[in-house]
Amino acid sequence: MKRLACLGIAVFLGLFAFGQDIPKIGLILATGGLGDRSFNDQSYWGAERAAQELAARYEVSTKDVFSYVEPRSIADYEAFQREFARAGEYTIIVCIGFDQAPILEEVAPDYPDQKFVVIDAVAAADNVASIVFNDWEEAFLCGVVAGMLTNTGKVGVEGGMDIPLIRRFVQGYTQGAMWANPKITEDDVLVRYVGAWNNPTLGKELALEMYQAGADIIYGAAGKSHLGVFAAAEENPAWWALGTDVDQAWSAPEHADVIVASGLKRVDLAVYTEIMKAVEGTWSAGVISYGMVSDIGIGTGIAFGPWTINDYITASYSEAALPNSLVHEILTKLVEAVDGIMSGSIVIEHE
Amino acid sequence: MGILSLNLFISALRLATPIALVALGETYSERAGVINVGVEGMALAGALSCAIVAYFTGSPALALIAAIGIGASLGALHAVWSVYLRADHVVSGAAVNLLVTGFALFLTRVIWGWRGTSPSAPTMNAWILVGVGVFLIALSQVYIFRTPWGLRLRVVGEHPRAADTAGINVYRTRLFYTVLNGALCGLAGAFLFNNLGRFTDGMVGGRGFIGIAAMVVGNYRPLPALLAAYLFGFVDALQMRLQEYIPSQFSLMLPYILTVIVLAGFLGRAQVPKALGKPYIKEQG
Repeated sequence: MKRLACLGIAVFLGLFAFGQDIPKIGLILATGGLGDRSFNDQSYWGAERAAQELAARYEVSTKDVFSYVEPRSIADYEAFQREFARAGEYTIIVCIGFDQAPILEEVAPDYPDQKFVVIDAVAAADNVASIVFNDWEEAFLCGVVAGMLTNTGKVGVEGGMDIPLIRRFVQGYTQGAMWANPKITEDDVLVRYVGAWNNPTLGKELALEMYQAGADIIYGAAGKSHLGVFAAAEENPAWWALGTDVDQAWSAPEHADVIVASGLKRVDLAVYTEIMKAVEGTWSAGVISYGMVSDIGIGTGIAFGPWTINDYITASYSEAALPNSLVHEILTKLVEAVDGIMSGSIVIEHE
Repeated sequence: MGILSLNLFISALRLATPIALVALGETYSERAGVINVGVEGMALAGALSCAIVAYFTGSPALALIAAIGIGASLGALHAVWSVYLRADHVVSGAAVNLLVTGFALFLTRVIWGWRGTSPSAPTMNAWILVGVGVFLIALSQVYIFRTPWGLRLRVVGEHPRAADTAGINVYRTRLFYTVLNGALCGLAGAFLFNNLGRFTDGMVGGRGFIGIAAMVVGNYRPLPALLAAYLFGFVDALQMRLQEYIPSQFSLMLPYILTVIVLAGFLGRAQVPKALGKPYIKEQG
């Protein structure tokens, strides 16, 4: 009898939970996994923030509204995507990383009622929202800082590989530097590619080579490889570095003295926004761009200086010893650049 | 400023050092008859243990000892598998590589909460290790070809039965030089760590395998292997500077094209130790 009562209560509670229709978030991280202090961690924060809000709203624990997995290799993606979709209980499934897109393109049509989001790539399917970022905008702002800061009139950029994604960084950076400092020509922007995302030893040698060739500030867009840029910058007090996607003065705190600024790509914001859209019923499939001149109007920016100025120029953990007057000057120029990009008077060319 | 500057040669020396140290270690173990493709993992383990010890003790000297010790232990593991248990040398070495790669991700996450990366840790001047490397290589050239111990080493790799008959303990000799190989790989890892100031899981990045290639090009002799390693380092340093003039896709190919060409030219001519990779079974009646 007692057992029956328990069962009854359980069924009742189950029905109650079901009746309330509590939303649930599924997150499939990229192969880099948690602890990368970049992309994956950011995605996790975005989903976690949404989960906490939902948990508070429905008075459940975050575990009831949020599940995530860390695939070990690209081969795991499909199994996880199908597993989440087959469960049928997820309001939205968020897939992180460009390499999930081709697989999702195959998987998504099999589950037409399931909402999917893929970050950083386009998957052509009717039930997938493909999130892309205007990377060139963060690169442009980093170029502005580089152009303002350089004493030698030469700036550098270290890319991971010569691929469209990274070329857009290079293009944005070059234009930013030239816009901020008319003395800089295209020839004064040194461009080098490591050929790998996880070879900081070579990344350091490349950076030293550019510094020795006269560049005094280098922008790293090479994943873990450009940790070598920071290590190289430590060797001479006249050398500076710029980071990518997150405030790297925070993610690589030992180098906060040489990392002047970092371009920002708010993956956390995009993940959070897409989840909440799905919960509120305003979600739609298709390609959605994040950035200054984009569908959403937010999502790229720069971390520089001690104050947060607006949605695009935010405070940095940088401990670079710059004179206050210079910081003010650069901030003024950054505000001008953001205004220009937003108003359309600055058009950043990119492929 | 032209491409052929002093900085080019200095950069090449830094890039060549880990390759040369691995090549030296591999020269020892292969001269004794043990193939060790686990060099990549041994160097990675050296770099990781160096980072861990430097981070927690703040002493780069202790960290160096740890790196060499861990490298040597993995060498011993490989020797037990391949020499005493007669496992296939390549399989055993590959096992070491897989073991270390997985362990590195696990340990960095457990210790620092980061995946595959350590925070910065105290370092020593990496140039000290460059000097140590060059010194060890010169010393080894003499040791292998001009001393009785070197002769014993070579006999064990060429004709273990003859060595055994002459009273040389084949197993112990192979164990010793495989451990030495591991220790030198650990030293290579320590150089990589001290050069960058932190550990990342990709920091060896194929330099171990290129070290084996350098040993083959050097024809199982330490000094020529050093020159081969320097050639590899030089081309790598050169390709960075060439990126100014030719597309990076092409310049990044250069080190690999060179490896293929040089190996194709040298493999036939190399005098491979006759008993290389063959397990030695003591007389059984």
